[in-house]
Amino acid sequence: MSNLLTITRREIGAFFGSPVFWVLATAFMVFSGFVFSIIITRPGAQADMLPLLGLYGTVLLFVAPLMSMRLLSEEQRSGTLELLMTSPIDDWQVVWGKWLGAFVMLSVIVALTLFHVAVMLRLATEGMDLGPLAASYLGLLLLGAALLAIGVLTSSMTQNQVVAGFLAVMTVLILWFLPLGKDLLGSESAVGATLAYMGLSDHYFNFGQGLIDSRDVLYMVSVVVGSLFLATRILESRRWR
Amino acid sequence: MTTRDQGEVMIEVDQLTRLYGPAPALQDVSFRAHRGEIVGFLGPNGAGKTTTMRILTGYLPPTSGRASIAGHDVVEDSMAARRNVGYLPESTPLYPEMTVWSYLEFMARLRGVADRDNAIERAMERVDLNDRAHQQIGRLSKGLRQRVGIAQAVLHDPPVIILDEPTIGLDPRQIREVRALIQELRGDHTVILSTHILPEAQQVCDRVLIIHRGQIVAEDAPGKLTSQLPGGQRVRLSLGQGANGVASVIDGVAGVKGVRDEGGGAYTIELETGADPRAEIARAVVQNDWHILELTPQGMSLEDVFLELTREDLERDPAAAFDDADEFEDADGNEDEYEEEGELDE
Repeated sequence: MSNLLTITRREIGAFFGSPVFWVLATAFMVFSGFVFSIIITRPGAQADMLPLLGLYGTVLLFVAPLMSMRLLSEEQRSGTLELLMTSPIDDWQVVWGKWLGAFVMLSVIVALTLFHVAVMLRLATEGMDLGPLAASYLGLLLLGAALLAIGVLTSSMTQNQVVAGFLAVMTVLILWFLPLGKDLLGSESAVGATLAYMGLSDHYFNFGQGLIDSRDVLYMVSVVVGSLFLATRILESRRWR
Repeated sequence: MTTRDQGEVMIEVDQLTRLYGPAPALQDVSFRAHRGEIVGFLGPNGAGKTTTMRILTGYLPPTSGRASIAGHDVVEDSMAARRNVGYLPESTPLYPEMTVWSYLEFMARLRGVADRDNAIERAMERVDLNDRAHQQIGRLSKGLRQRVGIAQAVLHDPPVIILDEPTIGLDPRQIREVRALIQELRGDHTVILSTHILPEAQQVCDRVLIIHRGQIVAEDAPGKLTSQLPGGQRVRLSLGQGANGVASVIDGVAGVKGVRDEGGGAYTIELETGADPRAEIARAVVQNDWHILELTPQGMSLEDVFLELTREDLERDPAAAFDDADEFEDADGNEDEYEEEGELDE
């Protein structure tokens, strides 16, 4: 475990030292601040963050792959992966440690939006319902965790971080829009229902409605565990080729 | 069994084979390295040096055969084996955005070094990097980065240090510094380094393994390799202008194995083992009324040995060469040579 956290610590340091993180964080804050200001200055605006958080989720579809594309591809390109894989540390610890580092940084970005919540709390005349808000934030973090894990997976496949990022965005978008199959095939179609369950978006929007359903949590956690498991196996397979 | 005065066997490699697809990158490689020994892997690019090192460091598993570091099998007991190795891969992989200190601290944590600050300071002192602790690695010169890489490899004071092409891409002064550094590691550490620079192997190593096409084709102290080789003696002959048909005349002299025309009146004459027909060669020259400018015996350099052994059309049977290497411990003939070096003791 301490090995995993060693990897995580280094990764967090690398994020602070990388321009990509600062650009992404700034872009995210400018975007969310802009949308936030429009919403609260509308006449008769509701003290409701949920539509906003739904929107943040879609922004993460692009932010998370950009944050994670470098994680393993760069290590492979520069050869530092050989150093990690010959250190007395398990391969899965490398993968999970890197993912955790990215997740911490993504959480920092998400946490910055709590500033908006504080502003809204000041302005809300009738108070705010904090339960659904908490559920939305949980959904946002779980979505981020899943997206980053997918990014780690594509990053394990190639030495080229641009390719890794592109693959991650494509994968994420396909998973996101999978539930559209339900609309195409009709809601009673078993295939459509399966597609909807496999897609990211339905699960995410359930959180946005203030619901914490164990199935949605389980889905996101499964995406994380599954992706990171595959990424570990891909790294291991490099030893055998 | 043979043991070594200075210490126990630290690296044991037995019948190691590694296939990439159907093609063998390594074939039945066996050798041992003892405590305090500096062993050089010498061979052309793609000969299997890096593959051997990667197996020893636990990066690649062997297809068959066994290897152990300090008694720990690199496959079955990989973590323990890895803890006993310091490794500098060929490309000197570093994180350019980190400072020297934070990088070494990261590596120390991964290796589970208890007293990190002390270990880092000691390692930096060893490679003479003390004043660079807080510089960014990406801004260091190539030579300094190489030192950071070596510092990383000695950080946890491992009994076995494996350096893949440690001097590649450095300028002559940096090369000398790195060699001096490796010399300083002699003693407690067993060092394996790979190179295709022959003088390097000659200067630094106690023992050289020449690897060619995935096999060990020769193994000995650098000085011994040159004398061991069949046809090791050569004579250089230079003649003045107007000498014709030299090659065929000299070739007819008893004791001469072959003649190579180097151009410009210079010839390299290869002699039969044990023969010294220099007087006869001189007589033949005089009889033909040629003007002799030079007749010099030439010892074979390690470079010649290397080229000889790794020639495309291997005259020596590589399997036979390998058998020699495999049996060096029990073979009485070889044992004497090692005793001179104080390396082996029955």
